[in-house]
Amino acid sequence: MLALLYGGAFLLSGAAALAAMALARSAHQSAVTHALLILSGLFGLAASVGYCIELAHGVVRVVPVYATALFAFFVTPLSGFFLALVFLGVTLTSWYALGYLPRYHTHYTLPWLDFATSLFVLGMVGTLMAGQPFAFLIAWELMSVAAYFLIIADGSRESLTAGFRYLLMAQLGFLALLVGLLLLAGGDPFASWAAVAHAAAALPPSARLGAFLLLLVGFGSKAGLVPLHQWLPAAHPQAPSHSSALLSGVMLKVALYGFILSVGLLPAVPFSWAMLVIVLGLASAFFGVLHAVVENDAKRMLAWSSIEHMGLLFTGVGLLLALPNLPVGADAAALTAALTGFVILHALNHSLFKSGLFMATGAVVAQTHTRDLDRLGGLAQRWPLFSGAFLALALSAAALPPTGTFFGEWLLFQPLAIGFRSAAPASSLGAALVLAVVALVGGLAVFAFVKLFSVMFLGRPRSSAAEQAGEMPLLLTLPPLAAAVLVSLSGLLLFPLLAQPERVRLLGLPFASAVLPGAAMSSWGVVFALLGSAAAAAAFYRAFARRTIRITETWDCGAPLTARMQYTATGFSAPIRFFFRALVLSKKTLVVEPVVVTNPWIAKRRLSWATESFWEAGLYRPVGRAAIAISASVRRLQNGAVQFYLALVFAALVGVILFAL
Amino acid sequence: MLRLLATVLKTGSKAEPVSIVADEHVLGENLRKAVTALCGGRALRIRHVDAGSTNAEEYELTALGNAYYDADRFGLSFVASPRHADILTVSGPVTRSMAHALVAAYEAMPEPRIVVAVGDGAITGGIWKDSYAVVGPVSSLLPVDVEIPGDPPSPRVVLEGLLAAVRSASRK
Repeated sequence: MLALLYGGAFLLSGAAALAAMALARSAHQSAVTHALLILSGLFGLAASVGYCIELAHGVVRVVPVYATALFAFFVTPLSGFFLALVFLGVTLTSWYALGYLPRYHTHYTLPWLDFATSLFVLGMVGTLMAGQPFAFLIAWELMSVAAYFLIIADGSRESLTAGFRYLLMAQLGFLALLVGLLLLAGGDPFASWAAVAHAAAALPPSARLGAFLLLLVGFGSKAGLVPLHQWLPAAHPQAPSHSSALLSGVMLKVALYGFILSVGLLPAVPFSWAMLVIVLGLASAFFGVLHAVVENDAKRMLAWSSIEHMGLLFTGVGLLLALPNLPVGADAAALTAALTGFVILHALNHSLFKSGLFMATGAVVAQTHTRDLDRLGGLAQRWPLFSGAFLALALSAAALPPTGTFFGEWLLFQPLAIGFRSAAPASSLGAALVLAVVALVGGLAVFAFVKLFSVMFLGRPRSSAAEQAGEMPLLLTLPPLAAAVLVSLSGLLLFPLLAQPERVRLLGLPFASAVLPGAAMSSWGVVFALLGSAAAAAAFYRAFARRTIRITETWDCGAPLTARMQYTATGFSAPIRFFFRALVLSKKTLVVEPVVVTNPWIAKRRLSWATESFWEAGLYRPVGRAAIAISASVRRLQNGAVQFYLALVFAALVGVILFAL
Repeated sequence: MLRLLATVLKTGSKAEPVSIVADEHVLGENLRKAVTALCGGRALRIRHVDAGSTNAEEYELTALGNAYYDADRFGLSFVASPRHADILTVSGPVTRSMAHALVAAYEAMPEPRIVVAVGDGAITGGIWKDSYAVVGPVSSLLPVDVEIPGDPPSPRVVLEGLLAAVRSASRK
């Protein structure tokens, strides 16, 4: 039954791809394709619910979907969870695409875009279901290449540049994965994962280290880990918004799944490797959130925030990997449970709120035709329901209560804060340092999302585009609203399940309680406390505030207030930019042009300003320059003299003979 | 040099003796008490709006701050923003250009607020009454509490008017 449902979901996304091509000339092509994708998502969600119920009854089994000698697809509890995320994301984004894409039918070639979307979904589902390296790599490549076509869908120069960067990183990452997985599998791509794990156990440590590093590079480059992240904020926002939602909300989770899967194939992970994962995760979280704060492009800011959250998830995975090597003694089981709970809850929440935010931002862009935060504003008055949904999503992206993200991150904070008390001083200190970075990241995330919401929705419109934005259609409001409701409920419903030993088995998890004693709290208690304090504040206000309130114009000293007098996104992030100016390099150029040639005092001054990434300037550009310099020096060999070429051939021959002897 | 010294000695002091009338002092003292009673130790803060006067009223109001009247010692102060003001003093007939600004300044004041029309122009429109450029007296736009007649009223009369305004506000 489950196999049929999972298989049906898999086939339906393939059918969507076929429908996109077959109906290319029909006006209903896009609607049919996305209806099939929604159906595929619902099938998959039904299967996930069924699987979860089975697990809750204590039946742990692998669901075989399809198996031949060449391909094997099955679902394990781990991939089942990530599949549920994919199907949830696909259902929401395809629902949204039904309202979103018709507005862009002249902008995109819809049949090709929908074809690529369907193949992308097929690739993600295939990657998660893959039962051996061969199927995994084929599906992974399908997903990567289809994503390229999503990124370049609008055909603009910016998209093509971003797409080229993406494709380069994706192919380098694929090569790393190919070599890494084959190294682990002992050269047999058709071996099942169990056989790969068996083969990996027999490998020498150096080969295992090599495979681990290659897999970290492969999956890390897809997940946007520093320093392989630079393509992500350029590429994800260029895709149409429903595709951006899939890329940022869901595809990154597939990369996380791949990493967890491949680490599970290794017999043991030494402490230093786990430290590498933690350090990369923390660096990604920090650089991601830092750039999210200073970024002025709404969609790119969300992409930076994705890097932040993937960094947190990798930090959690790294801590899990480090645990067996730490002298935490009896706490090990509780710590494992808490960190696993964090990875599960945070992956779920991130895919929900990030898809929701991308869809909502896409809806704003569809109405105002700009992604520049400094040209938006004042939208809350016109779209109250939509702004409410956006606010809920922004709150959850900033991990504030009562959204699910708060409870998810709580599960990361509590082991770091109190979990390592009984451990040696060195590991307590390490945990404290990690906690400090995670806390800094959390604070900056609040800053970033306060900026995003307030600049987009509050105040007055900063441009005529924002001022003349029309009514927000219901079809573009509902999917982000659904994501907002789900992410608000996830913490309330899942946290109590994770917290109580007698209920945690309902989720099919093999541990007692994810909440450490001393860090427990009731999620409903948190909500009621928030509601109660809000009610108390309202009552206090009603009791003591002056009754008569006069609403008059703001005193403007005689000069009319304009939208340009408001706080801008650039101004809001200025303190952070100043504080971290060594890491966020900003380039200011002042151009002075005299209006009259003879008088230098009367001049037009233009200030242009841009931020630049630390890694772009410090790593990518030097590497690029070095590559070009080496190429230029090698080119000197090709001087056109036949005698020189003959001498080279002769030298090579002599060299080979000497080597052979 | 010696001749100059001799001339100075011969001429002696020719300055007129300054006769300080105690009257202003008494009036001011009453005003200070009234302000203290109304504002509880704070100064009475005045925002002045010239709604289209000849500037004669402004000269007289400025004179309140000179060394002779020194209205600061009675607890009067002129402020820049209506947000900080207790009293709005208006001079001149309200011209069409200034009508909106006058109402905006009044709206921006916190309650309780006192409006004082200074000078005949502000009270009746003066010689510009019924002009095409004039909306009308201040009372046609704002509820005027106290009127200070005169074209222009002398600083002393202004002080009396302010005393009446403060007393009327205390009674309210």
